[in-house]
Amino acid sequence: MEKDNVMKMKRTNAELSRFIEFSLGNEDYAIPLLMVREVISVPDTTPIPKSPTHFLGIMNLRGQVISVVDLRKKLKVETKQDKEEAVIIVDIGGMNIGVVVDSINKVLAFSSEEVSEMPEVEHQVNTNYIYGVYKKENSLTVLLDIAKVLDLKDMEAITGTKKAA
Amino acid sequence: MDEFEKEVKLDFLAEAIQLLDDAEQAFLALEGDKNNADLMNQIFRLAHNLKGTSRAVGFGDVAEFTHEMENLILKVKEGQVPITDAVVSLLLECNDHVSIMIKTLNMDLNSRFDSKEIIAKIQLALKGELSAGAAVAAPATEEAPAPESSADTISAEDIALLESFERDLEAPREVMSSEQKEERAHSFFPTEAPKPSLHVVPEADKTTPTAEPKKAAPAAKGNTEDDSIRVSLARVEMLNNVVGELVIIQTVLNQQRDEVHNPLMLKSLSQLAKLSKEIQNISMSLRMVPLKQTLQKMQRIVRDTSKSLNKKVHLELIGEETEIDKTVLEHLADPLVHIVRNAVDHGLESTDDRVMLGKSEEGNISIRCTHEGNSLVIEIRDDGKGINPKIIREKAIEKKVISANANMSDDDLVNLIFHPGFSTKSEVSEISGRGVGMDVVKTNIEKLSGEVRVVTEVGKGSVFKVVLPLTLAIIEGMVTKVGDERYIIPLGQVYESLSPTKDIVHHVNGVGDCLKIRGEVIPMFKVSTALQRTTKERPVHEQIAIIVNTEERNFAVLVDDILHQQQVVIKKLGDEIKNQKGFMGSSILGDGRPAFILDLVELFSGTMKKKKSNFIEEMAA
Repeated sequence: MEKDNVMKMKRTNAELSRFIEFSLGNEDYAIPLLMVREVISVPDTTPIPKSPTHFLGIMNLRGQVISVVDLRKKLKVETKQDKEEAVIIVDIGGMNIGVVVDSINKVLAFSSEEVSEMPEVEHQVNTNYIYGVYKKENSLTVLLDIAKVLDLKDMEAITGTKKAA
Repeated sequence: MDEFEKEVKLDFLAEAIQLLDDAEQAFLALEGDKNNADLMNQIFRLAHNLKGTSRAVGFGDVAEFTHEMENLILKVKEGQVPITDAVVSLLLECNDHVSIMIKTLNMDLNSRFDSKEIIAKIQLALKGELSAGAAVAAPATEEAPAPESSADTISAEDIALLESFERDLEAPREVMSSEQKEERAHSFFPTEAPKPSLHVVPEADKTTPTAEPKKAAPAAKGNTEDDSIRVSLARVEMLNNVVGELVIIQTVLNQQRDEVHNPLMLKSLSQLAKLSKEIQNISMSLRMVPLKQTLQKMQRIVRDTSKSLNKKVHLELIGEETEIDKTVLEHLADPLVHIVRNAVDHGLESTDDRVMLGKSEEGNISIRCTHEGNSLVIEIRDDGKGINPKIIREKAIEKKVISANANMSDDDLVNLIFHPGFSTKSEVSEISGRGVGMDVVKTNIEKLSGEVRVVTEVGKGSVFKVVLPLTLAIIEGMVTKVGDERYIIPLGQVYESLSPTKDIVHHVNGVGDCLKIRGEVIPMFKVSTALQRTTKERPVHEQIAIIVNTEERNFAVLVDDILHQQQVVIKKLGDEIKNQKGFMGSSILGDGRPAFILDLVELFSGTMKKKKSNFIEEMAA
């Protein structure tokens, strides 16, 4: 699965790919820059009843009501103490979702050769939401497929059929 | 098929639907005014345009058929084939055939079609051998019961069928496509594309020297309609969102007015207020569309229905320009079709009966649309036999809708026709009785938060009055407080609100708290529990009970407080939480924070056993 993801990335991004890197606790993650609509500070949210705990609530983005998801809770990462907190508004196939992260670091630009596959580990939790790993000088950045992280595979199927009809 | 080709094809399909609508109108007009040369020219241009573009984008089957159709129209135009009712019927049938093809293609671009049967009919007509009976009978047998819906079902079946043909045809189509690509290139040069066929019809060129076939459609109606552009609803929604924010910021600014002393600033502030109000009005009006197109479809319904019933019917449309929200309009067509068809079938007497009764031979149906306050009112009036409350009463008793000794006013009796499972005609006819009755009309209209009533006078006719809200985007809402959170309850669901004092709250074992009001005991639920919110428990009598009244059951829900009542703009929820039960959507309140709009009926639908009560019987008792 991970192999497929890396292969796919290699095919589609022959040149430099740009990712936005952010921190969750002490770990660095990144998502494709093209999926990012904007980055804002954490807004007032209204809780969503009966929803999983990682759903922080709904917010008002200039008149549009969108859901905000806490990525740290979703990935079960410990929150940093001196957190700044920011919300990345991602665009997944026309659907906007706010994602809360500890802090935004920078934009990464690298060629696909610099991305390695996720190491295979027995009994590992489902990792197919990871594109691969980008090696920096003395640390690693995990490249996320944000749609899969948020469990929106089914959503894609739904919107797909809508378009076809 | 590459992206570009697909795009070109989809563009064509969208255009074709418009062309077909125009063509249908023209055919119907032609029936009434057979010597109108302008109409004939317009029809010819439409057909020619359809043929040209369908060939250019590579829909061979459509092109082949429209070519035949064009031939017929040309002959009619030149007077070689007389315009009889039979010919007009055939043309309409052709039009339906094309629209089925277009609809099917819309779902699957690779669909193929067999048009032999209808082409044979055209050939017959070309030879002047089309007998009047044959053509009039044709629509009756094939599609009269429901031209609209049968088109849908046929196309769905077609797809399955066509898909099986598809595999066999795959190879030859590939060969064709290289030719088509060449042809497709012509579509870039609209003025060149029609050349090969233009020399065949020099007359058309002379009579309409300026009309390039590509632009024929707009030219044909250019005088009567404003210049307009097509904008996606999503974009309009985006604009509305931003304008909504603008208005909120405007309110905030206005609240700061007192602290401003600079006169220029004050003046600008009030100007800004005026402007944003205006922008809001304009942006809301963008969703509004005239009823015209939907009403004109009724012409066709009336024509087909009356033909197959052998009745003469005149349809009058009043107020076609009346505007209504696009989403309301989309759901309005079906109920309207049903009412109109019903009026022709059940409402109007047969021609012989009319003559006997001393009425005009031709039955009259009128559809009048007007705005009344914040509602749209559509009245469908016929001058037929009216609805006899005595007959309704007998039927209702026979069908056990009401009890034999029920005491009801004539008006209430007549409105029983909207009751589920009620049809006055003993035998189900092909036209109106398709298992669904007026109750479906009522449910559909109520889904749009509208209502329908009928007023009738025996022997003189009936009036169906449909009242609809102008938009579904805005509702009256009651902003309530549950714990620290605010929830909006649609005012339409609120029957009354009251303070549950100790003397009316009763605890019933196994049911929980109940409310006893006016001798009726209704269950009472907590909104906080249903939403799984942990709130500080307040004593019941300090809370507020909202009574929800539905046809099936009444119940009360408890909220902590009612803050105020306001108009709220409904915002759709994202796909990720759309499937949550109990929410109608969300809205942004005056302070810019979003709140959920609750659907109390849905929220508590699982909490209670369905109580099947016959409210009409209760009402009558």
